[in-house]
Amino acid sequence: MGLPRRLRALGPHLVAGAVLWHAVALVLDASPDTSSGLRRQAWKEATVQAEFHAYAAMLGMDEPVFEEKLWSFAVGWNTARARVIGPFHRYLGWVHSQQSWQMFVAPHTTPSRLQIQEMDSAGEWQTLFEERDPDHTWMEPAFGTERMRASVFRWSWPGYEAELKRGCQALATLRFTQSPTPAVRCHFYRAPSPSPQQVLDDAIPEGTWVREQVVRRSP
Amino acid sequence: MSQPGAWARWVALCSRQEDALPVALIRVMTGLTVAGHIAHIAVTGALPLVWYDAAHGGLRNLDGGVLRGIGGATPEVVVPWSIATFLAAVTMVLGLSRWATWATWLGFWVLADLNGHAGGSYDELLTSTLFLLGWSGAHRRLSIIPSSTSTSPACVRWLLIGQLVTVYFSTALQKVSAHWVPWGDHMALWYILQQPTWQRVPMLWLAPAAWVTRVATVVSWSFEILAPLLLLAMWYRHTRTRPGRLRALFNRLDARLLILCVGFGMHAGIEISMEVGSFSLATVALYVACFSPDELRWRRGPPPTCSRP
Repeated sequence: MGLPRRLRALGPHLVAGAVLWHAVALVLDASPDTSSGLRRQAWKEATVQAEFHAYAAMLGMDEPVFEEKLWSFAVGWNTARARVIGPFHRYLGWVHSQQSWQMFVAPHTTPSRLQIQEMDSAGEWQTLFEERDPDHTWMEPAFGTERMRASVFRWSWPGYEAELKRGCQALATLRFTQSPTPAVRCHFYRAPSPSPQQVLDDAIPEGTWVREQVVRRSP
Repeated sequence: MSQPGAWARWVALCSRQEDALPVALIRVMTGLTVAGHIAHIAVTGALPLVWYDAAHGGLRNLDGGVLRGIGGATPEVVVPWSIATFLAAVTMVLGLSRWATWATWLGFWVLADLNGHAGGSYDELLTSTLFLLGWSGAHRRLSIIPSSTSTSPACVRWLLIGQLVTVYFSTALQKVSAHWVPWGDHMALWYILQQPTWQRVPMLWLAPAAWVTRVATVVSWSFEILAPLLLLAMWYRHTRTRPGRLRALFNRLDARLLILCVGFGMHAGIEISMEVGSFSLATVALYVACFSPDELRWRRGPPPTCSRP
């Protein structure tokens, strides 16, 4: 058998090897990656604390002990995972086929609602936009896209204060081109989501305004 | 004669060719999804906010990713790149060339990588699908340019099924909230539907029928954690002539179709109540991979290859 013929015979084996490699990489890389959640600051959020409370109660453990054990487990898991999937992860990075499927890991039970306002000539704040409010719809088509929703979602979480500041600056700059307003304000209304029973009893929990950012027009 | 070894059987399985119709349909649906997504981002005015650097009106400081070498996340670079990716996706839909798929893959991941805070799992799913389609010969069918061959490696279709199952199973493994799991209160979907970020409209009106969200929570989590059954069902269809009661049962019930129907219902519910971008479209496109070319041909022509479901 000549060399070209031998090389041609090798082709199906190479294809089979590549398919096997990709399938293994796909499965290993899809194993839960906890690195994005390993932020002590985020663990102090009400939604996260509520989850810890539920699990600690379920397991009959003290909440701080449960939290510490969970942290140690998550760190250990990630270290082991990184060691095992290293080459596969790099390969999937090169071919842009990363397997990151953290979708709705937990519902956010104390969500925040973005509101954007501008100051009128009397110095009063007038609402331009509020998430899912049909009466205040400035830039609504843009805010309604999945990419803008994902951006805004982060702004109310601990650790994203600088992102909110920059984002609000960009929106204010845009508004200043459309209106003579001297200032634009971005802030969030944060409130616990009511249970169905609370809705039926008309006992919707009150929330608070948080994360205020005011951008003034440059002279 | 002795039985071929495991590796020889694997090589034979991976060498099998089949009619490219299923991957061609996935190519059309994925191309439309990418083109539609880029058009939507542009038309709504979101494009400058999410893909321009803060110095040019964007929401964030962006380093430009691979576009740094040609100017970074500036209007002069991002706009032509978006238009080129859109055109590549349209060309991919038309099936002009294998290269259209690769161009769409390249264009889309570059855009998606520009701003990691403004993306979602649909970005990864679309780029993963495009990468596999690039190897598939999907342009040989449903193309405006007739091709001399109309086959595709069957292993690509199987990898697409594997991708689909991996998405579902992996996401279920990570749904560890006490509101999701069977030993919890099953309130996950109720609370998710109350999040202004993802809801299409305020959902408090659902309170009198909140049990629906509880049922949907259990069904969604169970469907996702049991997703590997789809792979089993597909394998049983592929090896239907072999013996086995479970195999016979799966094939008699068409377990594959049952699983896909539940999944389709789940995605329909998501689309009606929530805005999660292209995820449902990108996922449902992969459902086509679960059907053999013979099942998808509405008009029987000469069999191009020996293909089994």
